[in-house]
Amino acid sequence: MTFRPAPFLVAPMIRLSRLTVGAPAIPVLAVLALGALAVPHVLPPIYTSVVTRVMIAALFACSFNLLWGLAGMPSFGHAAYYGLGAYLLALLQVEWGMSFWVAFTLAPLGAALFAILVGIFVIRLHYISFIMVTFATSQLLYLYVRKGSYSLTNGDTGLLVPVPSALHSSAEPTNLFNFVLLVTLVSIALLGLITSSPFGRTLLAIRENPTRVEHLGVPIWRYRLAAFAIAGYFGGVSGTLFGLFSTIVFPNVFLWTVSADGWVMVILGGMYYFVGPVFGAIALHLMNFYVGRETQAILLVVGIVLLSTVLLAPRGLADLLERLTRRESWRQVRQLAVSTYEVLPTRVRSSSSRYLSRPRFLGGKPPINPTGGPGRDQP
Amino acid sequence: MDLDTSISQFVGGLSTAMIYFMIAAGLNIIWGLLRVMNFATGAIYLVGAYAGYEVATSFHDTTLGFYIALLVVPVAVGSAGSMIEFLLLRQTYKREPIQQFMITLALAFITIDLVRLTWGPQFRSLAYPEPFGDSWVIAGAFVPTYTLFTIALGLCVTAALFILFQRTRFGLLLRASVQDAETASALGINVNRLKTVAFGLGVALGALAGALVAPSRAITLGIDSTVLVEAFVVVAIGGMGSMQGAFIASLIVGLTRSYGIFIVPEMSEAFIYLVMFAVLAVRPWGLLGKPEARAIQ
Repeated sequence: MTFRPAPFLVAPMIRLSRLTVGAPAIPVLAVLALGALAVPHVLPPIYTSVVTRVMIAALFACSFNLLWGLAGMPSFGHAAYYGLGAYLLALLQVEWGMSFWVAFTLAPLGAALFAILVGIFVIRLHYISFIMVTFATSQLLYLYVRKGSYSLTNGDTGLLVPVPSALHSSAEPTNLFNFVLLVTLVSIALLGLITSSPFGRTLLAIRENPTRVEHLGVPIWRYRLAAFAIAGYFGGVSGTLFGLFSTIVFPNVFLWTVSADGWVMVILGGMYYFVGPVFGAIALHLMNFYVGRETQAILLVVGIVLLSTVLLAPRGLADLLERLTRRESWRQVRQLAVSTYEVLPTRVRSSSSRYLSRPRFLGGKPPINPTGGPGRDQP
Repeated sequence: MDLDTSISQFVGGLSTAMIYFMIAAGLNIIWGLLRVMNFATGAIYLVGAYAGYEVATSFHDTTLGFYIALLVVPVAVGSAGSMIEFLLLRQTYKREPIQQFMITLALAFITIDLVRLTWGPQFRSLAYPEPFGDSWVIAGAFVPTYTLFTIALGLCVTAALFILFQRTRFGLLLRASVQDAETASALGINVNRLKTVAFGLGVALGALAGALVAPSRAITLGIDSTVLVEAFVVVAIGGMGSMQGAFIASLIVGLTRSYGIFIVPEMSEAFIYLVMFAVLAVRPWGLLGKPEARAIQ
């Protein structure tokens, strides 16, 4: 019997470091978190709020990607859990008189419960029906919150979210930032552990071939339902963070544009990478921030970026970054340069030979020693 | 609800149903052959409405301009759709299907913003074209004749689509390719060209629907999202790729919508979702759709 150093601790950590397809998730997340930690101290205050939004969106997109990228269920109603998290955080305190921390703990559970109810109905459906029914659930909640329950939710007037003064004091603006960072990091780490666990691998197998996994004796509906519950829970967490951050919530947290943002972030970042949605959230929100300052045509820019991502980098930013940091990619660039050089007309080649006089070093064979000294194959 | 309101709601519901059917038929044609869920449908409808307005008002005689718009807009927008299929979608057929969906989503974003930049935020309205400017009184109910015109045109489009698919060589080739694209292309059918034409046809139907509603509703930004959602609901109820299903489902959705306003005014939109839940709970693949081997994917 061989010795295994605490496999319940080490093995998940190793697996987390190369989640699903080999992206180095831990170092990337650590660098991003350290960078975020410095933001309130280095950059102007406006960036603190931008980065807070990015973190909330990153958690939202990661929770959505558990459903889509890992389990292969393209839900279009993730806004429901986000909105439920935000509204429940307010309602549990205002209507049922709970303290903030109890409400903060219970609100995501409410979202998870709703996700299970939705999941029971939708996991039997096909493609477009699946998309439409998940969409309809969020739209029904939107209609209900906006028009159906005015006395409870105030409709379009919005609902104030009571927050503890420690988290929202103007004297200590970094408290809120640090809290959001902490919750986001812990949640994303938990999502990572779930993704790399045997449960997560089973979800991946179900995505790849549900029929086969079912024939292996796995009750796939139970796994899919669990994926719904987990995604709903963390979607709810991101919603509570949003409620905490904005201190007032409007029915538009249930709107389909929130779900569509989730899709865009996941596609931009790369749906088959665990950290992909984080990159997507950063890209989308920085784009919103910088382009939104200059022009109204933000949708146009997002559309063009999305289109070029799908056409040119279909696996998203995470894949692009990974390929850029690989050594082979630089070799490919060099080879491209050499092959371009070799198809150039001789006249151009000779005139440019002063600048490109060493083409063979750019990936070709090393030059044969002209002086007849010891070559490579001589000992 | 008394008889005259009931009648006017019925006629209004039928005309809405015809609009939905055109859009859903466009979605179904594209889905059948290309296996692409066209998310840009709402944007196409929006372009159709604005382009219809633009063409109609560019003529001195708006009525004549409107009828010309009904012919020109679908052809122009449909050709643009074919071009986009040729340039963008065709490059991605060998990749994962979700990427084509994302391309249509991106195109929807781009189109909606281009419409907003071109025509601005203020809404437009178009006068009813002659001779459909007045209303008839049917059993005490006022029925705008333009509504009847919409229904008649919708039925004509339905008949034309039926003849196109069931009685022409093009329809035969299209149905063969929908059934088995690989075998069809092995038998010498140019499936790629058919795909380009089918995409153009689907887009043209959406644009026609947009141009057709231009005189009866305010043309403004945001009309696309309601239509998009309800057309998708129609397709989900009727069953993916089934034309008859889409026709029945559009009648159900159109009438539910127009009567639902009377029952619970503020939640009328919720009714069609509830109908969809009910249908899909019994038949997960829709009324006339075919059950597929794999759920979700």
